Amino acid sequence: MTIDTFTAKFVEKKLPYIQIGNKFYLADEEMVEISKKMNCKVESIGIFLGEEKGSFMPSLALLELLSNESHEKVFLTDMGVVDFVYGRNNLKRRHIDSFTGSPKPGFMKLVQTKHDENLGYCKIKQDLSTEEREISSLKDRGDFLRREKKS
Amino acid sequence: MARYEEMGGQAPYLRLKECIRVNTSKISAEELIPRLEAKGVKLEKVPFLKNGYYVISTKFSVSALPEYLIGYYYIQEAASQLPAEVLNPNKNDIILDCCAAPGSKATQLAEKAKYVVALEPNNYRRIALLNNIERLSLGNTIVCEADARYFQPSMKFRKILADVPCSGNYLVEKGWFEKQTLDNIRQRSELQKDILKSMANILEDGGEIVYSTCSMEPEEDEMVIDWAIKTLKLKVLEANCIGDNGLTNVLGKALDSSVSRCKRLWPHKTGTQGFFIARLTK
Repeated sequence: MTIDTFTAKFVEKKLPYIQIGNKFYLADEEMVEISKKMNCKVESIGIFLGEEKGSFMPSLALLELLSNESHEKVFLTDMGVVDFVYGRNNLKRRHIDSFTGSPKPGFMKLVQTKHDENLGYCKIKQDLSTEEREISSLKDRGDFLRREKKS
Repeated sequence: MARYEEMGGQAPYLRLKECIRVNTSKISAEELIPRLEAKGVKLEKVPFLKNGYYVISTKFSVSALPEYLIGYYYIQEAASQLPAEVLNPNKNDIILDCCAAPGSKATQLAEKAKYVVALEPNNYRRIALLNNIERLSLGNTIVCEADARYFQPSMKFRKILADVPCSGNYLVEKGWFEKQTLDNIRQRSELQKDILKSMANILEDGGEIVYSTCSMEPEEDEMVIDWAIKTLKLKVLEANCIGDNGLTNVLGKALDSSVSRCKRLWPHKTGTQGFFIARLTK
């Protein structure tokens, strides 16, 4: 999967990203011009969208950005929010409040709080329109805590 | 401790209050506070800060709540929020934060500025900086792998934050008095002068550098500023924040009288960690 095929699963619009090495960023022209004047290695510019590691790995910033325009969302209950960000892999009926977009297994969904705040993304395991509804976590914002612990 | 008394200060043990800074680029304090209070987090506005709140009590660690992970606030000690406020960023500013990791002040500046250029030479520390920028959803920062001492961009900056590496203070590091020596402090002082010299070279005429440390040692504070006045021909502007005036007679040495425009935060007076802030121009 590339950055374009990934974002196309959520929005129609193609992002005007720039690439530095295997990483992708969203930045305006003025920022790019300023970065050229720094005369040193620029590690990051603007919003980090993700990186190519064999397949495209989205950043949490990209997921949040996509959630502003996408309808492919699943909304969690308060219990679901806590379990999702603390690394629970599979969430079921008691965790899932509602959804928009396709309910079909295999589809990817942006995972949202009841306030429509993005927490990550997931894959649908069991049809969201049924009592057996279930999602499987692919990435969550608890990752920030896990990164802090690592460093 | 005796040298603090000689400078008119004290070094009593204080339990620092945990403090958060609301990320106003994502949420207002009016929205965030009721949400946190509903989860059992009791907050109190820090009277001398724009967006700082003391955590009076909490049922859960504030570093593990979903609102933290969503990037609605940064856990940042109260005194540490002052340098960015003194630099007073606005939406037209392109600001350089020359010692940026882990990103508390860089992200604070990025909330208000047009762009922030953040330097950090250390790979591990730069990862923390990048994580915090991503968590707070700030899209206006450029992060560079660079050492402030040798940074030579092809442009000058109107506003620079130099929150330089320092020896720290006894309230934020256990056993600080046993670990520190005057030699360490003097070495830090030389590093701080090198950074300030480099920053003075890339400061626009009439621009401002806010220099800060969390050290209470005059060799890293007033004496560096006195050196910058005499050697780099920088001028000191009034630092508009809480704290005592900078010392102008330190350990028997008379300093330039304008050093009094700096601010020195004594923990027993401000309830914060020790801190020093200077506002410089050329």
